Amino acid sequence: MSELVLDGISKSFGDTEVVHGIDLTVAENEFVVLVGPSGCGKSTTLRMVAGLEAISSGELRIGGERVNDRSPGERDVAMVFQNYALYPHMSVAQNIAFGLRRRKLSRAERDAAVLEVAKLLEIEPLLDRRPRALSGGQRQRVAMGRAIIRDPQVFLFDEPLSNLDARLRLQMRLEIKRLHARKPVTTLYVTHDQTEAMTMADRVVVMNEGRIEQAGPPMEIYRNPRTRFVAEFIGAPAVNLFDARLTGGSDDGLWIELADGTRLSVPASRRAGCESYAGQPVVFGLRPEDIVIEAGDGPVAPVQMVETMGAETLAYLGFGGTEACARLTGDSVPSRGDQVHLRLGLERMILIDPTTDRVIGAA
Amino acid sequence: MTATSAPRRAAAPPATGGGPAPARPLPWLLPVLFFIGLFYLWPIIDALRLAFTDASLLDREANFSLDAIGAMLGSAALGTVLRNTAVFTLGSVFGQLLLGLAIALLVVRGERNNLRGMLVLRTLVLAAWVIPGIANGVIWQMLFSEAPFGAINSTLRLVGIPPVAWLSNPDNAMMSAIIATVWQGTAYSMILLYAALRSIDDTLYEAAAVDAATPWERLWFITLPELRGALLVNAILIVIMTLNTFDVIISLTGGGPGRATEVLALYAYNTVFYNFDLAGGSVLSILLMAISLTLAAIVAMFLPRSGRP
Ligand SMILES: Nc1ncnc2c1ncn2[C@@H]1O[C@H](COP(=O)(O)OP(=O)(O)OP(=O)(O)O)[C@@H](O)[C@H]1O
Ligand SMILES: [Mg+2]
Repeated sequence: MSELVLDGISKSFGDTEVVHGIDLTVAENEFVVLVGPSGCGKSTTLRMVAGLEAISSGELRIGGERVNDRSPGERDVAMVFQNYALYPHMSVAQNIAFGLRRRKLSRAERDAAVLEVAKLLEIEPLLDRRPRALSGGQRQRVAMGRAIIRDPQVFLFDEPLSNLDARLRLQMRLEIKRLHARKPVTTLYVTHDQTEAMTMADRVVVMNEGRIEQAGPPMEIYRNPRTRFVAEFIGAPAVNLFDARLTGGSDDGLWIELADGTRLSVPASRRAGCESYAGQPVVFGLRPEDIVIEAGDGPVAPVQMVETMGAETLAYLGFGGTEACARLTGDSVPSRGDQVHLRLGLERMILIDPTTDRVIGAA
Repeated sequence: MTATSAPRRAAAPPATGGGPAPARPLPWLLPVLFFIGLFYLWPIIDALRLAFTDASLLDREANFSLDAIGAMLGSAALGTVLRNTAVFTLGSVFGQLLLGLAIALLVVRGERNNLRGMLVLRTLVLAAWVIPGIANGVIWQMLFSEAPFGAINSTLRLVGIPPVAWLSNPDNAMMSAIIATVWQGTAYSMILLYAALRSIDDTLYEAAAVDAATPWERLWFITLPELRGALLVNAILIVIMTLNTFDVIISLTGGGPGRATEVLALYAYNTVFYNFDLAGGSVLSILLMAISLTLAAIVAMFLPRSGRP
């Protein structure tokens, strides 16, 4: 049992509260990613879990036991830091073995344990080197080795990949996930990168201004965001948002009227949730992949800019009184200045109440 | 020889470090060379010259002679003086390093916990350093005074400990001199080590905390290794400063009782200014310089080399 429970955890620095009552349960062996913009309190939350920052109020439980007043060393957590924090005067092997010094192991047992972890992380040839003589990715692995070898109840990561270049980040992202699949541990992982959150998490927790905005599996968060903030923060390129108005009565159907006068019929499946907003302004959101260029009777829009990325193409269209991004797959690439017909995936649209910034119809 | 080295030099990359070296470095170095030459090199050369003469302070008409060298190196006092110097230097340097490190650790610890008064503590310690050595000796002479009003002894008497012959007992006098020097010099080590401590990456301590390291383990595995360079540089500097110290001693004990606290610098000073033996004093000064250089070189060998931890 190594469940991690944050029960109303808050943090104040002096008079300013920066984390406001976080409730979060990380189930045993679950990989939870805490994501949010810079300064929203992710690190502070993680550091409270590690014991590096005192908890102002609330209760923290690891494996069912209250650990608020335990020192970091007594909480049986391991942490990987953004700058790795490897001990510079120890070799890689000594760094990894550091967490074992309290266990009464013979030298041979310890060396075997280090070797096993080194094999897992593919850093065997580096064991005698000093951290200074390692590349960023290698340091990253050593830092993980130092955490893994202790076999802790909880794994904590604070933006472990943000010092790596893009290609390496991708690779390490995959590797951390693979490692977790092979050796599952209860994990809380902090990042400001929504792609990392989406790709790695069993469950994503979106934080904003010291509060949890929404928590759920990645696809759930992506498809059914509860607030405008989550809708905008998750997904790259970001969701297209249009100022619009819901019009129409019960007999004539329900329409979305965009700023440029385009009228879109709300599909029957979505009508129930938003009928009460008829006659009111709304924010209409559509993910880039839900805008498809296809001959038909859909609305017509000019192509203003095209970004080709190989597997997909991003087309920026003059639509709805603003610029909309469409993510196109397939080989037919429009060119700038074309007038194209659009097919919109309105079943998956996101409607937001502009007065509360909450998504209409969300739980 | 020239044939092989010339092409190699031509093939060498341009000077390392920032930017290309100026085509003619001499004009840039000239002012520095001038001042170093005027204030350091020239006196050293002059002392070296005087060592090979029979010059005295009263009669500067010097003739070449090896007598001074023979007399000084053969003198019966030299052994005692060298032993005193070794004890004094070792004691003072270790005392200053340990105490300086302890205070620096305390201050950094206090600052981390937002304790008040750390700036005051730092300033107080630093205040000791700006007191001139002579004044320091006088202050400690009053503290150590064995008269009834002597500050330390009267305190000891209050707690029921018999008075100590701080300065009159030859066995204690050296310890007293070391205490006075350490008290003054600690500030220097403290400031240097404080700066070095502040520059240690905090996340190392956080990682250690998560790894359940005890305070001793943190000191042993993080702080001391990270401070190695600063400690060694500090050691070099205070070894040289302490070897050259005589102002504290001259006002505290005057080198006595007997020769109990007479160190090499003081011996050289006495030779010149009491015995008027300029040549002898020069010999001792050169000896002092040779010892300083040797010790500095030995300590420097342990300095972390650049490009390698
Ligand atoms: N020691 C401190 N004293 C005062 N305020 C602090 C302290 N540490 C953090 N804060 C404040 O708490 C808020 C949250 O900081 P935190 O480091 O948790 O953000 P973050 O979500 O990790 O951001 P980033 O993605 O930039 O790392 C910030 O507004 C920050 O200014
Ligand atoms: Mg952070």
